[in-house]
Amino acid sequence: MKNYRSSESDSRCVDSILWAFVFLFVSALPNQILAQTEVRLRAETRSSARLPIELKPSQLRDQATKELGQRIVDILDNDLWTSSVVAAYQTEESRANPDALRLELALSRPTGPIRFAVQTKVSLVQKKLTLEGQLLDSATNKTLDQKIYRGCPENLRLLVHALADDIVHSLTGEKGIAKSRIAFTAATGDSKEIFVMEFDGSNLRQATSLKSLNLTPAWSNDGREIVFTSYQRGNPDLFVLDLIPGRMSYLIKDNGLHSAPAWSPDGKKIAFVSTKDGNAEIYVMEIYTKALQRLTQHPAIDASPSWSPTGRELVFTSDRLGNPQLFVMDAEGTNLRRLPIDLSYNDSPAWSPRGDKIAFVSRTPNGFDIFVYDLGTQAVAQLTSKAGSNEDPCWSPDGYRLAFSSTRDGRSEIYSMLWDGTDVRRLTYKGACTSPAWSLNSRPAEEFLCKE
Amino acid sequence: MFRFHNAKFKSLQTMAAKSTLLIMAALTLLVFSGCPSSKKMTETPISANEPEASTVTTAPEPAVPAYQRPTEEAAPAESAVPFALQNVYFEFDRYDLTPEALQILADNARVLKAHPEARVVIEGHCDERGTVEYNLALGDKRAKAAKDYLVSLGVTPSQVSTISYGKERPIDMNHSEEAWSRNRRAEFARR
Repeated sequence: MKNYRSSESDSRCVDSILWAFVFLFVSALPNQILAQTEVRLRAETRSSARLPIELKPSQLRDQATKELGQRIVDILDNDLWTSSVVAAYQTEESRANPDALRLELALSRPTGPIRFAVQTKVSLVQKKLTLEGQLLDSATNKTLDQKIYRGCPENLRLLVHALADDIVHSLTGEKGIAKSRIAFTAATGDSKEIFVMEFDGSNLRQATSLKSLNLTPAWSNDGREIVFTSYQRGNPDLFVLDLIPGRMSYLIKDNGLHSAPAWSPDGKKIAFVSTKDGNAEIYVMEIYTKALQRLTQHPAIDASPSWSPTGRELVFTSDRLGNPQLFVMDAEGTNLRRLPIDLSYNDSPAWSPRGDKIAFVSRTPNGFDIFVYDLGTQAVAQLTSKAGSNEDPCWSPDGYRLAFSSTRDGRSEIYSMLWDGTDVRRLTYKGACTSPAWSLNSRPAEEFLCKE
Repeated sequence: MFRFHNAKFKSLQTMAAKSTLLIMAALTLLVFSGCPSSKKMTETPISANEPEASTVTTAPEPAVPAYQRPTEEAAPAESAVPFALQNVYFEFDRYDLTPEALQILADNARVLKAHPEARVVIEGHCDERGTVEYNLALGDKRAKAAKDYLVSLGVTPSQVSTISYGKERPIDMNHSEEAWSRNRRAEFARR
């Protein structure tokens, strides 16, 4: 039997190493800005550097009410601010109830003129809603882009989300995150169920009612399915839940543990951890053929696989050196190498959809905190500190934000923050919420349809 | 699925001459592919695995009755050993067995050998620190470490199965060193 050394003793030196890293990271920044477009774009996520646009009051047609028009502008306002690259400003007459977002807005009003405006038009005829969005050049009033969204009052939020994402895409080439959702697990009595909410915590709903342990959810690329570990039959097996009919099917059931699934970027494979051959190893399954490939061969624990956005590599946790550390391997299991992160207990890696960073958790005197490793510079930055235990980081589909679980307000809740640790927002108020998983920016077509 | 084939091949090798091996293998493949294909692919390996698993685990049994027979014959001795199994505890982030754990498992092995009809599941548990995913794997390691040692002491492998609950089923809900040490355990449950 192997004797693995405990890592508890050497966490004292973490702080000093960290400060050294933070210093290196900061002093390396100006060069990076010149050298990499990606980093320069990230600098623009500060609200002062966002692209400002003006939100005009919605034009009302047919049976559309003033309330409906204001709701559209308010949802759009919130969506665009959460995009990280656009700053939205409502015109004076449409600023009915100033809330936290508008306070932030008031503090960071742009100094120069606002060059773009969004004009929405809404009509309501026999419970059918038509939303038109126009992107205008403020100086010339010329239409730069225009789109129409059809639905009904019940899916108004989703229609506005789609408009917000299209505006962000037209202006910046980024995809936006307004249509994305976050799945997570929360305790309900003795069991844990999967819950789903929108990117900002709204529209929370329970996705499973299995009255068993249901853990480690992960999204399909089309935002339609969630793969997760369920003890429904007693053994930890992998299930796939199709959210549209709400139907579950087995992905794999075998002897042993099956957990930590991760959908590949091309949508064709799922990486996961299994002990079916006796030890915790990482496997990849082709979804349609169910063909299995084993990627790791080591008597230690291999866990928590996360795909690179190209699908060519995976980052995972292994305790093969005596305590949990992060390793990268090619998608075939070859070319294994350890990430040179000088912290003693690192786990839960999440590869940014931009490809340049890996978020992870590391043990600190307070519990766990979230860190980011930069693949280009090998710099490590600590994003959370002295605010409860912070775990399970996962990236927003645009790579600007991270969702995570934290005990900073007592019980474990889901939060999101910007990639640099600022702009922390609490998303849940349930208690015992863990394992957030952020979907891509896509929704199944059925969700845009009106219910008869 | 791979396991099914390997096990099949192994048993075939002992039973059949090597020249007929290929034909037999081809036949089993034909039979296998002849299974109702309308059924989900996921379900076939399970139904196929169960008989395999039992033949694999019963294979070493000819050796086991040597241990079992004396206890079976000594019926009064059996009832003299009460069916009580103790938990085994672990250090933080470790799955090797402490000297104390080895002692407890030796006692548990005596109980299990005195009750060969009893089937138990060893549940591997962790404290609340660390991720859900890592702790699931760690719990699995702990349960298997306990099982492996019991088997090395002569307990029939099929008597003992394992499952990991990671950090999902703490017995002490507090957030102290004491609570954590109580939660890092392999627990025995009778099936």
